[in-house]
Order: sequence, then structure tokens, then C-alpha cells
Amino acid sequence: MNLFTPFDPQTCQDLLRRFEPVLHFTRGERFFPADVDGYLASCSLWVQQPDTQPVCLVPTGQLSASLLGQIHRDHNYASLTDSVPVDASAHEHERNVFFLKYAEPLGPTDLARYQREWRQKERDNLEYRFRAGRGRLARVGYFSRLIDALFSISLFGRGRVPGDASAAAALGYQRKLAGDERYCYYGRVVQQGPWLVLQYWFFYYYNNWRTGFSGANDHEADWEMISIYLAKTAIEQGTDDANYKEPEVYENRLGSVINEQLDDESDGIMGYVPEWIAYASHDYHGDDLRRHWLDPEVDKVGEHPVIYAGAGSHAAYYRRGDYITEWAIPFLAPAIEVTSRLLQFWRHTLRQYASQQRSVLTSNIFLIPFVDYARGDGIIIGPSAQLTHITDRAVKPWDEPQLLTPDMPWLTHYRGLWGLYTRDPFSGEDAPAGPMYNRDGSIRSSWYDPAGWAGLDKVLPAAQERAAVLARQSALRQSCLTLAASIQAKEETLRNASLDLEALRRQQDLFALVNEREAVVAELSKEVQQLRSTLATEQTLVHALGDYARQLADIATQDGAALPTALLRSHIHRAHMPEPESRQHDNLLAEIWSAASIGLIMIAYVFSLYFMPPGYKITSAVFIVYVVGVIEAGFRGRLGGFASSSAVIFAVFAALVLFYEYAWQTLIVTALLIGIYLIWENVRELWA
Amino acid sequence: MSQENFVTKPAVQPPVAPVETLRRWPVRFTSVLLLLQAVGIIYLVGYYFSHIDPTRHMPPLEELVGYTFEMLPTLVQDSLIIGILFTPLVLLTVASAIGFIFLWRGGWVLTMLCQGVILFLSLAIFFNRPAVIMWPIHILMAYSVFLVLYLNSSGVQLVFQKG
Repeated sequence: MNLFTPFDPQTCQDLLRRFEPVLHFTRGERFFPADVDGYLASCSLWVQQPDTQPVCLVPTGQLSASLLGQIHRDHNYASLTDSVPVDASAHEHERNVFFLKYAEPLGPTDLARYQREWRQKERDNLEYRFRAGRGRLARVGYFSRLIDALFSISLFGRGRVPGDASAAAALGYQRKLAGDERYCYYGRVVQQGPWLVLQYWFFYYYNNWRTGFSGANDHEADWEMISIYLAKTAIEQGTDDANYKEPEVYENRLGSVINEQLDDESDGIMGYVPEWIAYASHDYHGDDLRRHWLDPEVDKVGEHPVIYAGAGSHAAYYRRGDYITEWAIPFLAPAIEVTSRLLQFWRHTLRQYASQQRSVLTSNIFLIPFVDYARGDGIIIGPSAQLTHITDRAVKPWDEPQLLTPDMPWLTHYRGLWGLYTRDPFSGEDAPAGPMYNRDGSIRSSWYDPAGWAGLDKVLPAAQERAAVLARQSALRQSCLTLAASIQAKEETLRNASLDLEALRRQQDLFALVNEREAVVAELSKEVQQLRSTLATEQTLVHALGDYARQLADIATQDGAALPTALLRSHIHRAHMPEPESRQHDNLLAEIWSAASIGLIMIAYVFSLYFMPPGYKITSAVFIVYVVGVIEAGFRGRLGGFASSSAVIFAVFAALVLFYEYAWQTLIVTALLIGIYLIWENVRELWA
Repeated sequence: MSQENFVTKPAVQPPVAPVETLRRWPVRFTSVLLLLQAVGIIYLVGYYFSHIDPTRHMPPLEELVGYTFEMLPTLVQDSLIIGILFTPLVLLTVASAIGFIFLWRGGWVLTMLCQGVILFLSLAIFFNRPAVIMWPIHILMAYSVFLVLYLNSSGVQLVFQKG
């Protein structure tokens, strides 16, 4: 791994402190960032060997962070259990799965008491009261609802976290908070290429997205992360470009506050300024995750970025709101691919739904929609000094950051899961592994390649960018000169060959020689054309790079706030944006309809099967779907699109029927119409 | 370079026809087409009923009480089905035509829905009742196909996007 930590622990902590985020949670959230020690103290360690029952290696109450790492560092499993030997050398395809188990199932009495207490809390305190508003099913089409129903049914067949595990975990976490109320994060500072990366890792006892907020999954333990990418300013880079005036102007872009604070910092971190930020959100990665530090989408309190955490899922978002997150079931991948292509054809070739929003167009009926509520209206956790102005909400301060370093065995040696292993084939219900590993034991890309994970491996820091552009332009100019010389030489050869050819053509009986020379001339001519084409391309590039360098200089002279947002967001292909406010409020009737529609379709179809004559079964099924479609489209404000699409589909069928019935007549009429049209066009041209 | 350099503007604005010119033709033509369709549907229903000879096809009134639909002659069944299904569409088509005349926002949607229903019913009859005399239905289908194509043409859509 080409990563190293450039500073001493104290400086790293200072850096982490300086940019530590402000987390806004949604009302009703039950789990907040915590330290792993309290969690591990309540966990047991288990191993699942192939084709056997899971074995408990360390019972609850005896596990600690140091023991967890130590066991796996030394592969010392034998001393932990004498009943079943653990084969540490198991092959990958039959590997042992180590996992933790936090929540013990609740008894019915405890569960009822917990639910009663939670309802009381909801009544007494706004921060506990969550209202979903427009249901997720009202936000998607009814085919997606059918897939969703199948997905829900599949939970009975596949592995899942027991229903009361969420309540048990919440009870355990509440008890922990009552005794030791601390909110903390784990930090990591690494240098990768030109980027100094600050990673903030948040550990939650439980992800209750499914049971708490109608989301996709539940699992014990949850690791979430954001990264801030800092780079040195031009002063520190020591560029030798004589006309280079980035340092002062670049600092201007970031505002005077940062400049003043930079002066106060120690020499080691002097000159580092934040340029990019990336929030981990479910399994997304790449350019779309990343935002420029100055992007207006990134809310900040001073130098502290604001994160809106998804309710239950704890995924990080830049903007508060309700996010539709689509989930693909692996075995439906071919159907998803085919539907996507059909949608493209429908939209681009047939130009249907031309006036609809992009989000509507790109949604695929085979993807299951879930809503991630990141409303930011609940508890706030952040640097206490920055949040003194907030009086209407519960504000909790961060505890001292804990630095993630390679000498932590629980971090580097424990590759197992941090919660229950449910053997869910979709993996959604299995607990995640630690910050460093994926569930399968491989290293997370966000760990070994934090810049590449956010698509930053191809991006230079702003202070280096102009110099690099100028260097590239200079190299290309040199290449153009070389090319021009080559073209000149080649042209000379071509002219000589052409002269030879003309001379030979004027001689008798030299056909063979003429043919040979013609081939030589043709070949040379082709080569010269290729060289000219390459030269033209490179010259265009030189001009483009010149313009780009000028733009970078212009941008640098502007105040940060005045920068055009489009320039800061040009790398984003498809930003994950919250649902528009206008789409979040439907009437009760629409809500009821969306919840009942799939069931109604099924009941109506069963009735039609029973009561309709045999020949009418398909017709009645189509009719039911059509009527439900009209009602659905009406509720969703897409009646125009639906009416048009359905009419076009029926028209296509009708045209086929007519062609089948009147093939010859249709061909004759078509030929006649084309003939008349051609005559009309030609006569019109004559008159014109 | 100023900030304006980053804003891409087309060198020449594309020519735009005056809205009034855009509106008149397609709207009036569509209204006329829809009214013609309404007349056609009335004729179609009348055509089927005109083939029923009450003395030959219908039972005496006093015996009609015990009759079920299946016991009626096929011609009467077909005429009743077509009459029941298509007569309400006359009202819908006339409403669409009025919607086009007055440029109601929902006029285009209503018309497309109406054409969708006409085509669906025509196809249903084609596939489920092979004994029916089909040529009048075929004409109605062809007319609706033409209307769907015409309503999807850019000229008509533009009017309603502007309207």
C-alpha cells in the first residue's frame, strides 16, 4: 500500500479535530457513533465453519478489543474452545467466518416493555418522533411494488437478523449511554500522492434501517466513513513557474478564515487546505461521491462539514432530505439490463416522456426502491464550540478522536464480521467487517486507495494543476514541432515519388513499374495525411490546454463564493439528490392507494380468472393493468405520459392487426401515398 | 477572461414560429377529426343494430324475461356489446374535441386516453369475438392509429406544451 502517515499522532489529532464533521441525525434515530470498547465488552466471538453449527469462541463479557486482535494475530483459537477444533488454514471457498454477536433475543415481556417505553419517549420528546410522510411505495411504480413484495417475502426464506434484535440492541445501547454517554469517531490521516486524506470512521452498534424505517436491511454493527482531501498550497509546492501566481489567490478562494487559522497551525500542517470531500453512502464509489470543498451542496459550520445521516442506515448525505435508494437483486441483473436498454430506446429513439424528469426516466422497474430519510431534524453531534448557537435541538459534543493506527490488532488482524452472520445470500443482513476489510476478508478500497475510491487518483490539487497543464502544453508543442518536421520530410519524399511516377507514365511499356510507383505514392500520401491529422489533433489540444490554463488562472483570481458551481461539479455524472419537496407530500388517498394497489391487482385478477369466460382472461388482465395504470399515473401526476405510452402501444398492436388482415391493400395504399408524395415534392421543387 | 466566458450561448437563436401560427391549424384540425370520430362511432353502433331484425332475431317480449345473455343470437350479443362499450366513447370523444377547441390543459391527455380505450376495445373484440363483422371496427382502429400518430406529432405537442 502506497500510504503513509506523514505526521506525529498529536498533529494528526489536531488535524482531525480541525475538520471534524457535524452529524445531523433524523428524529427517531436510536444509535449514534460510539466507541468499540463498550460494544465488544457486550459481544461474544463466534466462528462459522463450513457445514457445521457456529461455535462460540469467547463468551459475552470476556471479549475486548485487544483480545479480539490478539486471537487473530496469533491464530490462537485452540485455547478458546476445546469442543470443536478451528481449522485456521481453511481454503477461501470454504473459509471460516468469524463474527461477533451482540444482541441476545428479548423475551416477550422485555420487548413489550421496550416498545411501551419508546412510544412514551416519542410522545414526550420530539427527537424520538419519526413520521415517514409520503410512503416509499407511493414514490415508485406498481411493478416495483410487486418486486418489493417478493423481496419482503424472500426475507422468510433467506437469512436475516431476528425481529427483536433491533430492540435488544437499542436497549443495550441505551444502557451503555446511561452509564457512559460519549460520542466518538475514529480518525485516520494518510498521505496518498499529492493528497493528505483525513478519514473519519463512525461506529454504530446497530443498523435498524429495515425494522425502524422500512429500509432494505438490518444488521448488527455499522461502520460509516467520510474522507476529506487536503493538498498543499502553491507556496508549499515550490513551483518554479515564473508567472505562477496561485498561492495568494488560491488562499483567497478558500476565504480569509482558513488563512488566519493556517497561520496558527504548526509547521507540519501549514499550507494544507481542504479541496475535496467524499461521503460514503451505501456501496457507491467514484466521482459521484466526491464534492469540491467549495461546492454549495456541502454545508459547513466554519471548517466543519455537515453530514446528514440516513435514519437507521447511517449513510452520509450532503443535503437534508429523503433519498430514494434503489437496490438490485443479483439474480435480476439481466432483467435490469434489458429494461434499462428498453428505457433508453423508449426515451431517446421514440422520444416518449420528453418532458418528464430525469430521475423518473432512469428508474428501473426491477430495482427495489427504499427511502433513506436523512432529514437532519434530530440530534446533532459536532464540535461543541461550533454549535453553541443551536438552542432548539439536542447538541452533543464529540469525544476525543481515536486515531486508527497499524498497531491496533483489532483493526488490522480481525477480518471477521462485527456482528451477527446470518448467511444472507444478498449479504444485506450480514454485519459488516471492520474499517479495513470487506465482508469477504479483502481490503476495502477506501482503506488502501482512499483517493481512487473517490475518483481523485486522476485529479491534481488545484495548486499543481496549472503547472501540470502548462507542462503538458509545452510537451505537446514540442511534439507538434517534431511532427511538422516529419511531415515536411515525408512531403518531400512524396513529391519526389510523384515526379518519378509522372515521368514513368510518359514512357511506353512500363506498366509494371508505373503500378509499383503508384502504390508507393498512394502509401506515402496516406502516411502524410495521417501525420497531418495527428498534428491537427495535437494543435487543437495545445489550444485547449492554453484555454484551460487561462481559465484556471481566472478561477484563481476569483473569490471562492463567486466560482461558478458548474465548474466545481463537472466531474459528477449523476448526483444522488433528495426527493423534491413537492413530491414528498401526497394526499391520504394516494398513500392508501399505493399501499393497496398490488394486492388489489392480484385480487381483481383472481376474480377475473374465476368469473370471466375462458377467452377473456388475457383481455381482462390487460384491462385491469390498464385501469390500475391510469389511476396510478393520475396520483403520480404522470397521466399524460401514461396515456400517450399506452395509446402508442395499443396503436402498434392495432397496426399489426390491420396489416395482418389487409397486407396487400396496405402495401398498395402505402405505395400510392409514397408516389403521390414524391410527385408533390418534385412539382413543388419545379415551381420553386 | 471574465466569468461570462464559461457560459455557452448559441451564436444564432433558432427560429421560432409565432405561437398563434402554431396554435391554429393543428388544434382546429384535431377537433374536426375528433368530431368526425364521434360521428363515426355513432354510425358504427347504428350499423350493428340496423342488422337486427326484431322479428327474426329477438324473442317475443313476453318470453324475454327468462332469457340470459348467452341465449341471445350472436348478432344481438355483438350489437349489444358494441353498443354498451362504444356509446360512452362518443361522449368522451366529443369532450376531447371540446377540450381541443378551448385548449384545456387536459384536452390532449383526455384525447390520448380516449384513443387508448378505443384501440383496446377494438383489439379485445378482434381477439375475443371472431364472428363479429369486423370491417367497421377495422376502420375505427385505423382512424385511431392515425390520430395517435398525429397527436404525437411535434406540432400538436408543441401547442399543448405552450398552452
